[in-house]
Amino acid sequence: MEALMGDDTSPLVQAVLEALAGQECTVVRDSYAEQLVIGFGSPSRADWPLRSTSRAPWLVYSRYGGWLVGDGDRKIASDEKTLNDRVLQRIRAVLLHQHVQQVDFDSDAKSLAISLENGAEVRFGPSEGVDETEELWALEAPSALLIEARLGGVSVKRHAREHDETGLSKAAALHRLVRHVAELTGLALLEPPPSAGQALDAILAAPDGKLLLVQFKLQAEPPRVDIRTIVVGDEAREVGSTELPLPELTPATMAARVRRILSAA
Amino acid sequence: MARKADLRQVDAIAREFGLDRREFGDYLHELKRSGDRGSEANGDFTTDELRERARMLHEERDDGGSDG
Repeated sequence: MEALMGDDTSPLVQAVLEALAGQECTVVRDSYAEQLVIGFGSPSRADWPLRSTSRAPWLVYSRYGGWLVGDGDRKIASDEKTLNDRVLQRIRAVLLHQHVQQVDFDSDAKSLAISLENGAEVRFGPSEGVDETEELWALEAPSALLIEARLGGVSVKRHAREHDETGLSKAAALHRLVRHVAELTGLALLEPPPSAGQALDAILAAPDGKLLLVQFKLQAEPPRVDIRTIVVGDEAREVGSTELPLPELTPATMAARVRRILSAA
Repeated sequence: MARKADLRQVDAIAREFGLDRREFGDYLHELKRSGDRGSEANGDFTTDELRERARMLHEERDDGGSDG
């Protein structure tokens, strides 16, 4: 993926960051290796197969750099101490639901300071022991733009995190889930007829004539899988339906639920 | 410094498997929070355990994403 590097990126970075002003802080969480993650804008859940990670159109990762959160008068938390749930709660108390008032990017220091309407501030910047190739912070912005600040320069590029831009990737992942469930349960996986359209994503068929009609409801909150049970005799009749929350579903747990549905039908 | 070493290890495995580094970190963090802890101190994953989790994530992705 083509990336813009070096001093030339400053005007572009500034232009992108200007659009962050006015956004509401909606996500405060951590990630692996005690990264602080702060999100702005309408919150959402990360794409499958992640199940519970919160995302937002604007997402800053502290990556290898240092960070500091202040409430306007004093320091609330920083990377100098362990980032745990208690510290996250303190940060949430001062940042969540506050709107961004000002964004300052220092192209020399490679630091990013986000000020909020209540006077709170979160800063990302250099830290000891980081080499020139490692990000001090990374900002995912709308339209899949990614700004990465390193001691060696700032890059702006488009990233491929938005797997659902076309829906193809997500559909493939869901199809793989159903195929895996079919393998685990010994059921036959049948393609739904084209006439079913979006009302049906897959059919799982048992040897005794029972059919499970699977439909993914990705727009539901939380996203879920609807399974309708059909018994085919002289005529087909629906004998039950089940809704499974997608975020908590793995191939193994879905297979277990499918077995229960079939034994109850 | 241990945090940076952990992150370097995760990034190296993400690159090896063509995964988005931030997404892979989020994925591992979810796993740890849901009780899938590695055999290192604090439940961190060994290199082999990271590779196994990378395969898990990769298999569930259409094309494995790209390093961002």
